Order: sequence, then structure tokens, then C-alpha cells
Amino acid sequence: MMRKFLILFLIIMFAPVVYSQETATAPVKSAGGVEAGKKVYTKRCIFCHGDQGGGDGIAGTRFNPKPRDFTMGLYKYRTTPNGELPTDDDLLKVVTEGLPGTGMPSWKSILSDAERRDVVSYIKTFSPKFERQKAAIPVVPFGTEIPSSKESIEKGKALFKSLECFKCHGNEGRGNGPSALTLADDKGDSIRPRNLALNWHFRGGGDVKDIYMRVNTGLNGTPMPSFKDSLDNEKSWHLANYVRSLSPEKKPELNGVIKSKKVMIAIPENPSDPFWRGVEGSGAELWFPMVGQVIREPRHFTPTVRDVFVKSVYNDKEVAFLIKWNDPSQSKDGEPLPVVGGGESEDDLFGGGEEEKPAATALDDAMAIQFPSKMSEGLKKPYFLMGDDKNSVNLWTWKGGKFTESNANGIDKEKVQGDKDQALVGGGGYKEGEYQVVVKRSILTADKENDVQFEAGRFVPIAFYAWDGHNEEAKSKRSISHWYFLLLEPPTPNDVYIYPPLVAFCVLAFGLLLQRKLRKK
Amino acid sequence: MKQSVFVAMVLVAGFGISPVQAGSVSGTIKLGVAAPEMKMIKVDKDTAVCGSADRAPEKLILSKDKGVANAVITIKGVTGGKSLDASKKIEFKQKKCKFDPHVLVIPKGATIDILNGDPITHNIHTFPKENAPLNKAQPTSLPKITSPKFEVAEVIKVQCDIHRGLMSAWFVVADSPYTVVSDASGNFKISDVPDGTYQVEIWHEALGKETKEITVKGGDAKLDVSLSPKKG
Repeated sequence: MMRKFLILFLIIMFAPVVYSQETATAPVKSAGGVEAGKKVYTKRCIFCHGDQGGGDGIAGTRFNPKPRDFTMGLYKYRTTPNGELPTDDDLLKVVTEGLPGTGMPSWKSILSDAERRDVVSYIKTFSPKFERQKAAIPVVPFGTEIPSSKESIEKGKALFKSLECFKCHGNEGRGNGPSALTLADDKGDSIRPRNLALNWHFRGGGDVKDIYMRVNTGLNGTPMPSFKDSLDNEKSWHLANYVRSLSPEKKPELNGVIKSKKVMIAIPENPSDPFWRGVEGSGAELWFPMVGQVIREPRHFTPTVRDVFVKSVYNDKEVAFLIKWNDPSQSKDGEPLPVVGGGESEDDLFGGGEEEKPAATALDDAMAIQFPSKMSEGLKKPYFLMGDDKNSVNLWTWKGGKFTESNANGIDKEKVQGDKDQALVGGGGYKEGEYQVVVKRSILTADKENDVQFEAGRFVPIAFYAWDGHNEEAKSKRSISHWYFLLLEPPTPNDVYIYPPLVAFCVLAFGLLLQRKLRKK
Repeated sequence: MKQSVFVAMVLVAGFGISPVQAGSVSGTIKLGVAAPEMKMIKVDKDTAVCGSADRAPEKLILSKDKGVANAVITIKGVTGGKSLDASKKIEFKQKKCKFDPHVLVIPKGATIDILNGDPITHNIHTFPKENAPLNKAQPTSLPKITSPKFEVAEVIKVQCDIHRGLMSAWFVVADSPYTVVSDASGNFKISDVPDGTYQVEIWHEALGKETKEITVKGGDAKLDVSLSPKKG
């Protein structure tokens, strides 16, 4: 009797365990998911997001934006209305695909689908809001899509104006609006409106659908509000189509060789000249990515300029470059910096007696093009970051509207050339969040030691630097690029139009003659 | 006097004095330390609407004799007496790039009508801990937005990000109907308070929280409070 009871007891105790193992694909809310998720989190996530989910992991201190603080229960990239929590799928998407332009990588290739779901269920435990959410979280639906067209974009442009998106995003969407520089997120950290002209940096995705969702939901925890009360389905598509049109149709591909086109006219110094606009006159524009300088102290982990656009032409006398880069602020040396959070000071009113910190000031914005001072035999290039002891670089710097030529044998060993040797000319300036600068120099100069010499058909290494004066960027705190190549395209010789046709004609004539002779026979 | 008339007078007098004895609490909130020097705020955005004159910070508004405006006075633990009215109409206005009022008492469970009286866009951005957060854009084409219900009693910071530094306010979601905001001179009055001894909580955004005790016994109970900034 006792035995039967014991067997029954064991069956009752263990059956549920066996049964639940068979249903291992239980919904995300299952306890098993959270336990397993904690293991994934501890192994992969704590370094940035912190062991208590507060976004304060040691690795995250150099990030901008900072890692998400899960304890606040505020999430940016969702398909749910403003103020609501994200769905599980929203969270899963971010873990799977990452957030481009931030320190949040894609975990697709490292974590399995189950692991990613598990870690999502664990992350939700950091904020009591998920527990308290009784009803299903509503989702913002997509209405019938309106494909992009000239009319739709025009309508979207009018909405961009009437809703006043430009106040933060700027008239051309480059994040340079009058309210842009004083914005702060819910934690009080500086946050900037997205540059809508570079959609490959949109964290939530750069497609029309993503934009539709963002304007309807807003980004919780940031100044980006929801415009849902002012938009219906049609207006949302028009606005999304317009915003999408501010960026190129496709993300530019990295092409490591700048082909400088030969032209027969005097090269204009003004970037607004129609010559520089089209591909016919001045050739195609190339894109290069830039990163922060993190090699030599003081290092810079959060640069402003991440993209530079370049085209080059030359004529018999000069080589010219048109350099474009986006900067949300036109910075001038010494001008006061806007206070993040606006004029209403968060300081203790009664602090009194503490030394007043001197108001922070901006520095000049700047850009530089780097070449090797001398072309070496073979493929050896100077060290890409401002040269080295053995190989110096020649720098063409534009700063505060002035051009300067210098040389460097290392980041802290820069020497400006004498006044007599300054040979750069050009022009340009800042408009609606973008700098456009033309810089020119003669193809050959007398100083063969310190000035890069150009030659048609020769590959010359070229690299770029940029500084945003509103972001403490000067000297070694800068954006940098790889070495790429510049090639002055040798012009097509006129012979190409004479000899081949001549030879073809002769061959034809000979062939006809032969044919006639054979026929006569 | 005729006996019936006398009885009638006693009855009338009896009903005149309400069966629940009640009074009011009134007083003045003053700053207990020297008035600090406050930097004026420059208006550098939308000056056509917001004006261009410098503004005094709203963080601490003092009258000539250091009366503290926008302090929130709450009588806690009152049983009986009036109940919380979550159905009354509450308006929160935006005009000339200013929130009006700077401190708004909202009964728990109520919604508010957010009005934009300016020809430019503002956004209402709240920073609650317990209530659902809100960040909605309000262009001039949308003069009224009705908020969701405020379900949890707490103090919520409110800002317009487009006019950051110029437009900030506080929502005080109250579960006590005995919650008022002091006026520009620091004066306040809370009526229909049943007789009793209560804790009164005074809160101000720059001066923190203070608790006092008050006893109401018919008539008006005086409560003058001197607020000093909290250290640490």
C-alpha cells in the first residue's frame, strides 16, 4: 500500500517537470525565460547596461547615446503609442538588429533566437511598469501605404513646415534647428535631433515605414514627441515620404579611389557655382566614413562628423576639391556654448559661495585634407594619423574661413608652413547644417620636400579630418578617416579618335579589295 | 417670545451650524532665508511670439516681502468632509511661450485640457515616475489636446522641449481634495476643513518639502510657514 502511494506521489511530483520540458517553447513570460535570460544578460549585457539594468555599465561611459537605462521603462524605438511600453517584438528587434550609429550591436550572429527572447523577458524585469501592464499593449497600425511621388513629397514638405519639425531638425533636416542644441533627454544628458539627410544613421531604421512609425509614436525618454494627434494615415505617409527624400536613395557605397576629372575651364572657388552641382561638369561625389580619434590622448569617443563627401577636378594648372560635411552648429572660436537644458538652471539656487565656473565657449569648426608630403617609391604610406618620424604628411586645413598649409610628423608635431609658402585658395561656408568648402592648389609647386606634387595617372594617398567646435573638438580630439587614393584621371588622348577608325577603315578596304580579286578569278 | 418661534429659531440655528464642525486653514508661505540672486533667462527662440525681454526664472517667485508663490499646501489624513472631484474641467494653457499655471493641481483620476494659444508649435513633455509619460506635439492647428487620466498621486515635471528653459511647469496629482497652490504673495486658503488635528505638507520646487501640524476647530486656523532650502 505504501509502495503504491509512493509511486503515485513520485508521478505527481515529477510529471509537471517532464510536461513543462516538452513545452520548452513557452511564451516569453515564462519563468524559465527570465532565468535563462539572466544568464545571457550577465554574460553579454552588463558591461554596458549595468548589472542592475541602469545603463551604467563601465563600458558605456564613453558612449553617446548612453546605454539604455532599463529601470526607467522608457524605450525609443517602438510600434506602440506615445508613453506606452514597447512590445516584446520591439525589444527583440533591437537586440537582434542592434542600433546603427550607437554602441548597441546586432546580436543576431551571437545569440540564438531563443536566447534573444530569453534576454528580452529578463530585461523587462528591470522596470515595474511591465508587471503593472494588465492590458495588451496597443500597436500603431499602418494604414494603406501611399508610395512616394512628387506630389506626396510636396505635401510632406508643407507638413514639415506647419508642424514645425524644422525647429529641431532644421530647414533641410540636418539637425541644426534653433532648438536643437539645448535639448536634453529624460536623464538630463545632451541629446541631438537626428540629421534627416543621413538616413543610414537612423537607429530605428531609415525606411519610409520606420519614419511613419517614429512620427506617430514619438521616442519615449527623449524630446521627440508624437505627432499622432495632428496626423492621419495619409498625412503620415506624405510626411514620411518627404523626410525620406532628404536622404539619398541608397546609402552611398565606399569607393576607395577619388577620380579627379580633367576639365578645360577655370575652376570656380564658390561651391554654389553650378559647375559643382552636377555629375557632368565636376564628376561624381564620393562618400567616406569618419570615426573619432581614439589612438592618441586626449582621445575622442563621441565625434560629431561621421560622414564626409568629396569630389575633385583638375585643369592644366590646379587641382581642386569640394569637401562637404554636416555639422548641426556653426561654431566660432570664443562664442558662448548653449546650455543643455536651456536657460532654466538646474543648479541649486542657494548654492552661493561656490566659484562660478567660466562659461564654456565654442571653438572654430575645421576640416583638413592630408597627403603624404613626398611620394615614396612603392606603396609605403606615412602613418595615417598625421604621419610618422620618417614620413611626414602635408595638410591643407580650413579653419574659421582660412586656409593653412602645414606638415606633420605625428599628431603633436605639426608645423605650419611659412607665409610665403601658403598657396591654398578656395571658398565656401556654412548653410543649413552643412559646410561646403572648395580648396585649390597648383598641381606642382617649387617646394618638393613639403608640398605634395600631383601628376596625372598617379595614385596619391588622401585622408580627411574634421572638427566640430561645439563638441570640444580641437587638436587631437577630432574625426579621422582612413587613407584612400586620389587619381588625376589622364585625359583620353585624341589619337583614340583617329587611329582606331583609320585602322578599321584600312582593314575594311583591304578586305573588300581581296574579295573583288577572288571573285574575278 | 412665543415658544414655537423660539424652538424654530433654535432649530434654524442648529441647522445653520452644520452637523460636521468645519473651518478653514489659511496663511502665508514665506522664504526663511535671504532671497538668492537669480540670473535672468534670455529669450532666444521665437522672439516674435515669446517676446525678447529677459525673463525672471519661475523656479522661485517671491513677492516683495519674500512671500513664496507656487508652493503646494496639502492637508493630509482628512476623513469626512469634501471628496475628490475628478470630473471638473481643468485647463492647462500655453500662451506667449509660458505655461499657465506654473503649478497645476490635478485630482487623481482626472484628465486635463491642454490648450495652445500660440501661433507656433509647442510640445508637452512630462517626466512622471508612476503615471504614464506623455510627449505630444501641439502645433497651432491643434488648439486642444485632452490628456489621459492621471491615475497615481505624484508630482510631475512638465517641459516644452522646443522652448526648453522658457517653458516648464509642475503637475501635482493629488489624492487629497485639500490641496491648494499659494498665490503670488505666498497666501493660501483651504476651506471646508472638518475639525481635527492634521499634518500639513508644504512643497516647493526649489525649497523641498516641509511638514507642519494644524488644528482646525471651527473658524480659520492660521498657518504661516517659513520655508528654507533643504541641505543635501
